[in-house]
Amino acid sequence: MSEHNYNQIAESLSENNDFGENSVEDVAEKLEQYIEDFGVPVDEAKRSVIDSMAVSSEPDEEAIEVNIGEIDTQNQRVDVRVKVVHIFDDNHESIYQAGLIGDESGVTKYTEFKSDSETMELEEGECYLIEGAKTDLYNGQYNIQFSENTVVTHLEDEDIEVDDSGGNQQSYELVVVDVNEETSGLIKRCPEEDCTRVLDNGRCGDHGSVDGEFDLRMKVIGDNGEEAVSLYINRDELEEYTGLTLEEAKETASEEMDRTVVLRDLTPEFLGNYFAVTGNRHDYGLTVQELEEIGPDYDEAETLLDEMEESLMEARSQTAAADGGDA
Amino acid sequence: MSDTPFRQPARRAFAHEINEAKHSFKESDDDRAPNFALLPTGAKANRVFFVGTFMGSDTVGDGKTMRGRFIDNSGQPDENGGAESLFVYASAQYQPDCFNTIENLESPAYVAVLGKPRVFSPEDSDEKYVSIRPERIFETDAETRDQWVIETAQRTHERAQAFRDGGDEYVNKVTNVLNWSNPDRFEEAAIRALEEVVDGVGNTSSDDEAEAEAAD
Repeated sequence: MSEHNYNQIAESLSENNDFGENSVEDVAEKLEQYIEDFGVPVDEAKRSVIDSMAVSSEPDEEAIEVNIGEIDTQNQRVDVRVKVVHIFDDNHESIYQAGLIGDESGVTKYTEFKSDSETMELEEGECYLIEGAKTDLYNGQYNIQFSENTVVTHLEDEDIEVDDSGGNQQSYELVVVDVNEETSGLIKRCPEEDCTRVLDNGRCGDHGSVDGEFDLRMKVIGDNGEEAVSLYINRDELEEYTGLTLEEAKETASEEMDRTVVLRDLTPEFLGNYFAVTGNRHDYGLTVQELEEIGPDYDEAETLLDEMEESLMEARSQTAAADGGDA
Repeated sequence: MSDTPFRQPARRAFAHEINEAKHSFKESDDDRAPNFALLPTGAKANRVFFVGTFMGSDTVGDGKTMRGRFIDNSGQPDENGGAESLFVYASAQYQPDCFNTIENLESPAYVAVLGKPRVFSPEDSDEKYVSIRPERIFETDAETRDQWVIETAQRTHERAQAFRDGGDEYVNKVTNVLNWSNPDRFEEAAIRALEEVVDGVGNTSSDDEAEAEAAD
């Protein structure tokens, strides 16, 4: 599996990160070690190399203009020219607005928080220049967060073409066949800056024993008979679908003195249920953006029945003709 | 190739077809390579997802294995009124959760089974049988059962059409190893199961209708 050109990757990382005394070859060597020797996925390896080898950037660094598809670093100040593809209906209470923005190179999620000084309401289908936003990495996917210094300009006369085909947006109709118990329900995440890893018994894979921060999420397996995919359902989508908030989950857990009761209550909402899901498809699976339970469509069933009976009849008459009526 | 390990999808098939998947094979010499059963409509199945009615269980092998019997409506009409049985074997040692689940199930109940098809021959015979080694078993409801029947009929139909259109290596395997020259019998089985759902047997809304009729 050594299709990777480590020097190339190292060079591209060096454009957005200051590796101090480390040369491009040093970075490439480290990447190779992660990916070849340890079998670490590429995105994870990049993140770890940056964490361990990059010199931390100045808070008032200059923002760079990027295409959505080019974003491969977190904590980077960027300018983007985008069209708003979709605005999410329900959000966590700290979020002013969130949705999907895109340009010709791809689509990504954006989040605008209520604490931002001047919040600006974006509209679906409209184009904007967003200056001084921050890139963020969550569940293996890069996204954009507005900050105090973000300036948004409505581009009234511009139309931007959005590529959301190769852009990883995917929809499935599937059934949930398994729940990942270790990392679902009321979980704790690593509090270290830029690390959002789910803790395993209080331990972070990157940072060791830490005091985690509570979060609510489900990692389940969806399967449609042709493909099995990991579905990551985060706090916002969980709250929207089940009505359960992080606060309520924490209360229940502390009343019962058992964090696992939350998973016990959530599991039947997912296991064995059929869903239509839409989200960002990435190496690890699908980060769910929309989730809807689907039930049996009896009209569709009738149509299918007719179709099957017809094709069986046709197949039989063809066999009969071939056998000279011996069917 | 993706950076995360590939997980085999759970094929949708009715009991009538699973019970005829009497050939198992691997696609690599590696000991850890996945094992597949050959579905007679021309597909490889490492894993299956099945929803049926739990009818009862008993222990076999000195109590170390729990055998559960599940039925769907894909059977031949003149046998058991069209009910076809699928057997699930859970070992107390290797599938303890499923062992306990089966032990605690009360029949009749709608139950979903996720598991791996196993082809075996009993000691005294060359006859082949297919059973399921479960990974997950959980109780479900009529709505999910109906949904599964519709979905499984759709998938069976797709495979049958592909078989008739000319097929691939798996269809060739079916013709050569399992000796089925066409998928008709399995499309027929799927039609039977689908008919029950369309006609409203076990369909929640027409259970209400049936009650109303009876009350008249």
